Amino acid sequence: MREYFDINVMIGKPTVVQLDKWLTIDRLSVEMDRFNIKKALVYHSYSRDYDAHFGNIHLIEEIAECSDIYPSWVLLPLDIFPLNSPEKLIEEFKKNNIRAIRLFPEFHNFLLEEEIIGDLLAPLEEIGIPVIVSPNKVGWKDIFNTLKNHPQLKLILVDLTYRNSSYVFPLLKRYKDVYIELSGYIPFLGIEGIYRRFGAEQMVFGSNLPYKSPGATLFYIENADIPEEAKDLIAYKNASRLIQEVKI
Amino acid sequence: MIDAHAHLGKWFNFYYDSGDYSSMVKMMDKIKMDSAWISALMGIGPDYKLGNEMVLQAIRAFPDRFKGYVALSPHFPDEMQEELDKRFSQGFIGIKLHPGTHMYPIDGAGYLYAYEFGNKHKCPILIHTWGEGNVRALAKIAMSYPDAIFIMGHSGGDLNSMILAADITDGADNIYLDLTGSAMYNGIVEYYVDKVGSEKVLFGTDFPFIDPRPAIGWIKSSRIKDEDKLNILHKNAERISKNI
Repeated sequence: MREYFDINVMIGKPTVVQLDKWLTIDRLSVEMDRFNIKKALVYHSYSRDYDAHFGNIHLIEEIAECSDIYPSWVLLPLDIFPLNSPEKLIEEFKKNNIRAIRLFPEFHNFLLEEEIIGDLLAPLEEIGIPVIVSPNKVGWKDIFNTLKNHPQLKLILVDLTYRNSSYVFPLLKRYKDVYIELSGYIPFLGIEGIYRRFGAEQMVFGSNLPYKSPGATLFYIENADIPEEAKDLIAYKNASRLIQEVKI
Repeated sequence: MIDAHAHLGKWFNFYYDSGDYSSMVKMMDKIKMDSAWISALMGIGPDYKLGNEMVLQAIRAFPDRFKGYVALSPHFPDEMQEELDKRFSQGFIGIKLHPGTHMYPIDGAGYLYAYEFGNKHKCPILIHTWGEGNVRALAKIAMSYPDAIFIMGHSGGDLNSMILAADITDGADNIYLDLTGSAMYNGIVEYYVDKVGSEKVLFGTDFPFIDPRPAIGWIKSSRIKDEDKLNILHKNAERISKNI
């Protein structure tokens, strides 16, 4: 069975819990074993639903014993974040082995405007750390504008839908450091269409646990009409490369 | 596998590479899907008659792989009888109503003939539902037409509505909950099987509007018994089609 690297997982209890779908580390471990997910990039619900850096610190404590889980910190504009300079941020990234960032402008009430977020994105672009955002919540126009200002930013787009090809195609064509996570991007023949146009290097696997089951996207990838090497890239290798390329 | 909620063709406000029936059959062969019950996207859009004609062409090209829903418009209620008689004589098996695209209430007068026809012929009526209001309206209508088979398309769509759908239709003999939807909420398959039983849950994908593969993976990897998966993926639809 193919090995997977899941770049889109939330642990912790969120404010809204339905069908008892929330993850402890133990619950996540069961899911990872079940679907052969060997590594996961994880953020904490407290970071999204309570306080970004409180959740970040909590996350580090919770995953301290887990060698197969990478922490993804949730950041805010530097003006309203406790680590309020690039130097402080990168020092903490090093100390805690932070390999990806998540931004929730829609939750945290800020805009992806250069005046607000530019001095945060510049160092993130510089060190090549992946930044994960949900364009359908942020607004696609803001994604395009952000990339005009930060064309080398490694941006992973999550929570896509089957309706997003008109945005996804031009982004992947123009920006080789933009990636799409596949759990929501499910237009008919979607994987094959991206592969035919742009190759497999800009697609990554993510489950969106606890909200979705990994089984859906796994079946999609495993039954895609693309070469096995391309499936390996999507399932594991692209994410692994992104994590390793972070310059901290 | 039988996909009880599929389509045919293209849609106006987003892009996908192909929506023709040959591409669909190619995918069905790949994923071992026996048949798909289809309505044309044209049929739930601007021209239901043209859409039904497109479905007829697909059925005639692949009679073992496609079964047809007759799409109807509540804005042309006087035409329903003729269209239904014509299409059922051509082998269509059910009715497709889309109150969302037609911006028309499920319990509006423009749909009544369709419900009466479904009741008389004991055929499936697939109704797109989105939101708690649609779920409640369908549940109420279904009580008035007990011999029709109501397929609650998307089972209300959002998670709260999907949960409500199971809660208020539990025990209703003539309502099936349709799993079609892009969200594929983690845990809802298990919840439905536990709440209403796998005999009342139908597999659907919106194919080719949406790729069918994720939905198959979602159901196959759910934490339910194999016999429940078989009911959802195949047996329930087979039973419905035999009883028409």
